[in-house]
Amino acid sequence: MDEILGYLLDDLYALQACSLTSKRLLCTTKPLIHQRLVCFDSRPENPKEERRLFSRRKKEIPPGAFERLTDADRSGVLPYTRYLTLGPKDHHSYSSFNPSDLQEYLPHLRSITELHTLTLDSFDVHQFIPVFSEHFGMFTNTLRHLDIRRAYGTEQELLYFICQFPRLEDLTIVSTPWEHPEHTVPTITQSPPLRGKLVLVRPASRHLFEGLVTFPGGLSFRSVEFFQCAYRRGRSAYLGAVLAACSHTVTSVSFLWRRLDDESESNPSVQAHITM
Amino acid sequence: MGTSGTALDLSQNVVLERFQLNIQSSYLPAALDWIDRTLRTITSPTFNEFVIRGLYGWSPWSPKITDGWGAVDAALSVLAERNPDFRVAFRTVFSGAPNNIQPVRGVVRRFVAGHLPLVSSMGLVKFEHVGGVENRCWELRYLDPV
Repeated sequence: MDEILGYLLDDLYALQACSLTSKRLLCTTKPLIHQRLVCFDSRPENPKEERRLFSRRKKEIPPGAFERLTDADRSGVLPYTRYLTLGPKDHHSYSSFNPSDLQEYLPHLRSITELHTLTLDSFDVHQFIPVFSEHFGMFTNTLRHLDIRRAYGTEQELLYFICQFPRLEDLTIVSTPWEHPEHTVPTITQSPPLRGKLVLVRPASRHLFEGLVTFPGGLSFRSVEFFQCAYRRGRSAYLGAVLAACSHTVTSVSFLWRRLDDESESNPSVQAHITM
Repeated sequence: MGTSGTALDLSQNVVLERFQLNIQSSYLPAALDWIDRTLRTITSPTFNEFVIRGLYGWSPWSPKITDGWGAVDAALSVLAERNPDFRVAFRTVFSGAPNNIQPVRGVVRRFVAGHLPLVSSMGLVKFEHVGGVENRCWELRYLDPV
């Protein structure tokens, strides 16, 4: 049984098919089938298209961003969740979600007891900080990998948020926060071990680098990946500072090389075009 | 050749084993100089793999691509002399290329032999996932046995 499941570990459809063949396989495959939960708004951009697609099956209107939590909890599969993605309310505009959007789903989030990886896409980090314990406190003992995309707030708020997960090993940050209002955050007094992999994608701000390298516990990443990072003079120094901060542990460095000269830096349209 | 890009300073990374570069071929002329200078900062005695990954849209006979490897070749041979386990890997070259640009492993091998003669003669180069769909290659005459 274990050998079969080993072959099919990454094949969700095969696992689902296997689960129907016997009660024993149903029990064994269930944790694997339901280990990933993606709460991401998938409604079609065009309402007409939505009506056309679902006109014959009116009951199957796709759920909103977080209603999948309700469905999963109703099915009793949330205890199997290891990977959770909380996405934007509207993926066409990437409007951020905030604590009030999650409020009614908190009982369902508390049913997730063994979360390993959390992906947050387009979330308002500034608003979540005062209510962190209520909304994410249940994950602090188990979470090892945090993946942050499009956070709204300041770099300091983002770094403070990251440090609230004391057992974090891997960290992915895709772009830096979009808004930079003047907010004060509590001083970071302790940081997670961060002994796994660091992935930085389009890190535009030096504040993020400076904040990372001054974590109280230091950085101990074994693998560092920079994607879509400019190599120009100042930025290269920041990348080097991150590498230097984990100089005694990092064994692998990956770099997606792209050129970003002074002209393109001042021209966002050119900057967007220069990607690999 | 020769741009003003500041090289990464890897001199402090004392246990570094692997440096992987993802790159599109159109950036290669500027990048080769950057690669050379970055490789020369590596001091880790455990460093044993340099990976070039990507090179999408690569034309192995374009002067833009073929020129300027000499310094990189020399830098790699220095690393190889420092650690006998050192290897240079060309990984996933061409896999993302359009259908009409899918040279095969043989082309890459010939290119490496011609433009990285030092590391090539030392038998340090390995190829992984190179060539994409070989039977749809636009230059089948270059097909070498793997």
